[in-house]
Formats: sequence, C-alpha cells, structure tokens
Amino acid sequence: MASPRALEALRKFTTCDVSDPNEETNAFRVLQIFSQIGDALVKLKYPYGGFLDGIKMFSPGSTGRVFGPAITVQMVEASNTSAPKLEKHFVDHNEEGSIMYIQQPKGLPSACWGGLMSTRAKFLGAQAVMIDGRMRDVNEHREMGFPVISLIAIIVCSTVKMEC
Amino acid sequence: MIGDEDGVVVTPQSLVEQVVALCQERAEIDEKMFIELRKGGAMGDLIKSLRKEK
Repeated sequence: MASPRALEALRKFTTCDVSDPNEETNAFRVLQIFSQIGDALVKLKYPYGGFLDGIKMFSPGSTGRVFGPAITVQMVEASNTSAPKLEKHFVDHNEEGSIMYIQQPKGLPSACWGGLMSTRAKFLGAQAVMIDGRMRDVNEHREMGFPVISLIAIIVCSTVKMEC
Repeated sequence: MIGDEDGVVVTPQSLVEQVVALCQERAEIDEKMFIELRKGGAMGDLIKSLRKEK
C-alpha cells in the first residue's frame, strides 16, 4: 500500500502522453504542472503506461483534473441472470474521495449514467465517475461541477432491460 | 486513478513512489526546457543538453 505522503505527491502530477516509449522520464506538494505519470509508468514497464484509451473528460472541462482510488463496477446485460446482484444500487456504493469506474457492456446504445447518478455520487463525496461506456446530461454534470469521463455522450437512457 | 483533459491513467499503489520520483526528475528537466525555449533555444540542442541520454 502506497504511503499517504506518496499518494499526496502523486496527486500533483497530471496525466500525460504515453505514446513515445523513448522519452525519458516526496513528498509533498509537488506540482500541478507535472505531467509525466504515463511516461513514468512506461519507463517502469507498466502496460500502456496505465493509460485508459478512448475515454475523455466531458465535465467540467479544460481545468478539470481528478485523483482518487477506484471503486469498480462491472455492468452486465439484463439477460445475464447468473451474475451477482448488489444489495443496493451501484451508485450508492460511491465513497468520499473515490472515483467510480464503470465498465458498460460493449455495443449497447444507451447511457448507463446521467445527471441523477452524478447528483447521488456527488452527495456521497465521490471525486468523479469514469465510464468505459456512454453517459448523458453533460450540461447537468457541468452545472453541478461533477467530473465525468466517458467514451461518448448520448441521449438515450437505460431501459428497464439494461438495469444492472 | 488520475484524470484530466488529456485522459486517464491508472497507477497501481505499488508503483506510486517510483512514479513520483520519476515525475519529479522529469519535471525539473521540463521546467529548464520551457525556460530555454521561451528564450529562443532550439529544441534539438536542448534535448541533447538537458535530457539524460539513455
């Protein structure tokens, strides 16, 4: 487990371009302009430099950056009845300071996240939501200042059939 | 997990300290590069002089 000091130092670095494998590359309060986390991970031979390809920040915009431990959610199609069921809605599992990372099944057209979800997540103290999938209500997220990162924004909400 | 407008990276807890050290090193070099570039320094020359050769 990384020490709290090291985690706090990491918070100050930004994400970066991991595409050049030839690029070279404590404590506290190091600085926001550091963008070389991906480069550092490439150097340490971590797969893809830790980069999660394809998802982008829709809210809040260019000034946004988020940092926090992940709470992972894997969604399955409703037809999958053998998958475990949660005792409460997955959005209620958000925790103070964390980032919920959601995997939506590929090929589904609907959004698995919207303004209502962000409202709940924000209330629970989540830093952001990251979705390998689709979400909607971009303006609502921006208005409430809740960071949302996803593949794309769409307008169709989940149907009953797609509830996890 | 860290996300900004460039994208998202995930850093395993076990690598955090090494990543911080590498980032710090690189940041110092980049800061010098920025200063020299603003003064008109040439990229090729600066890379050779400021970055460590592998």
